[in-house]
Amino acid sequence: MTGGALITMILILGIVWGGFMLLLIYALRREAGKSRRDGSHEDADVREDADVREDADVREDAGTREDGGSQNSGTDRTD
Amino acid sequence: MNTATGRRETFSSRWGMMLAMLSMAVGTGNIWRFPRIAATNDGGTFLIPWLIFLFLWSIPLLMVEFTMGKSLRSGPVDAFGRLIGSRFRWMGLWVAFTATAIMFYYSVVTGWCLRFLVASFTGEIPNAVPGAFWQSFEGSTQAVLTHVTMVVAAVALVYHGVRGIERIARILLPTLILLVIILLVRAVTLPGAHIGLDFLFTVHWADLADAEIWLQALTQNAWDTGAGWGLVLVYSIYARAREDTTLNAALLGFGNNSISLMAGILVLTTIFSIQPDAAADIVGAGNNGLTFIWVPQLFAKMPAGQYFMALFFLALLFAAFTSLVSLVELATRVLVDRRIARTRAVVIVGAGGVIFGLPSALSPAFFNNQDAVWGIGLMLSGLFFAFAVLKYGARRFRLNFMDSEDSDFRLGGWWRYLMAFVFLEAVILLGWWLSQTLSGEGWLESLNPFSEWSLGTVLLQWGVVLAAFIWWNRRADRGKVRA
Repeated sequence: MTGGALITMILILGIVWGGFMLLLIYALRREAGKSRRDGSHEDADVREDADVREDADVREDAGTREDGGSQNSGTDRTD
Repeated sequence: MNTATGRRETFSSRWGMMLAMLSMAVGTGNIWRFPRIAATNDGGTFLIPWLIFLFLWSIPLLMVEFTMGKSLRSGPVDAFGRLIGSRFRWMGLWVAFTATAIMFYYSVVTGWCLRFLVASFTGEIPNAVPGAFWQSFEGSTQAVLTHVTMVVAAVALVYHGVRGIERIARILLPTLILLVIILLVRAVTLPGAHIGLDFLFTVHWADLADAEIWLQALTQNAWDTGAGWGLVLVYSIYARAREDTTLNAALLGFGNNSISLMAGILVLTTIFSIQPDAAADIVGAGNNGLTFIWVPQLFAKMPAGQYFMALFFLALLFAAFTSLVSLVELATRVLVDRRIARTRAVVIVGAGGVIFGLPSALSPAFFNNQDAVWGIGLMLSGLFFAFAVLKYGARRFRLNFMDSEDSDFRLGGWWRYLMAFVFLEAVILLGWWLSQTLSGEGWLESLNPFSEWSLGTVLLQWGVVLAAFIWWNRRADRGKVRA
């Protein structure tokens, strides 16, 4: 195998496979942190129910301008 | 989808969802298309734009789809309507239709994988004449039978809802990855494997000026990550309420392309180890030629090749089937959004899949035509997603839907430039493709709408579909037809 091909292989595999592994480890740590904050399973179930309602609100918000083009949301945040 | 208790059905966990999404994204595009496209576009040279478009096409569009699905909880048609106004629902309909049109022939491909898996067990392949089995099978009643079998299997799974999809993904995806790793280890330990690695990773920098390589790199990214298909949008409808979207989208893009690279290495090292003299013929034989004619011949020349060939077709079948399931789910979701009961919707999609897949199962020319027309149609789907975000306001989209407290990483002000760039990429590449097609000597012939593959056939089919959808949208907005 030529030196150039070897370097390219290390770079490409490093970015794609290495990037995937780093993102996966980061996601696992974030998820573990979220689980710790969320507490018990029962709490999570109650929260999920509340989230479904909250979700419906978000959807409703975006859906209020079915015919209105792009000026529909009343929840715009600013920096 | 709501359960009997009125509670929305969701994936059981982040990892359950990610497995389902990754199994959706990893399909035949990774295992048979990526190695061939990489090989026919100068190997290592192709990998540079392919990697760039992962960041500048696939991941941004996956983020958009993830966010639209999770925030708007509707299939593509209503998601476009809710985001940018009901008069743009035709764009969502285009996205959904393109994926459904692909489903019609993708079930045929999945059926081929099933037949070749069986044939590798029964010893029907390889035989003395390369391609003899494929030629006797392609377009036959057996191809119809396997097509119907795969549609029925996918419909049966989708019938059981998102938890059924998650359960099967938890089994099939890890198995698929294990199979690919086994085949990869075998391939790179073959004598002469380094020639294949050399080919795959040697960059000819001057060739990067060739626009064809960039176009192929973008379409390959669209094909194998599933970005812009609407499939991630549909699966995200079932995401848990406080799910992250940005990190998950990046994870999906990187995970998918990791498997593509594994497939590329395993296929090309196998080819260059076993038949280096015929490498150009093999990679130039097209998707079907490479997989269904040459792969059996290659494995036959390897110790214990029959077993490795069976593993290869098993991996291919798993990859194709899980992608087919997501296509069936998308079409079903569109009908469910039109207030059709899920059970009925699944049956309608199954019946449609069987009927409209028949021409592709029986006619290779029809199959090739549909593959070309709707494959390129994905670029238009991606363009519509980018348009939707820009129309809504890229900054508003980020602030309202993406940068929430549930997000694992926040996007910056660069997001709006990235979305503008994605939109421009699609416009430029579509324009470039049109000009290339029309600039050759046979430009008049390329306008023939009835040839197997021509600009004319693409424009005719796109034109009819777009006109019908825009007409429907206008009528629906005026209340003249059911929205």
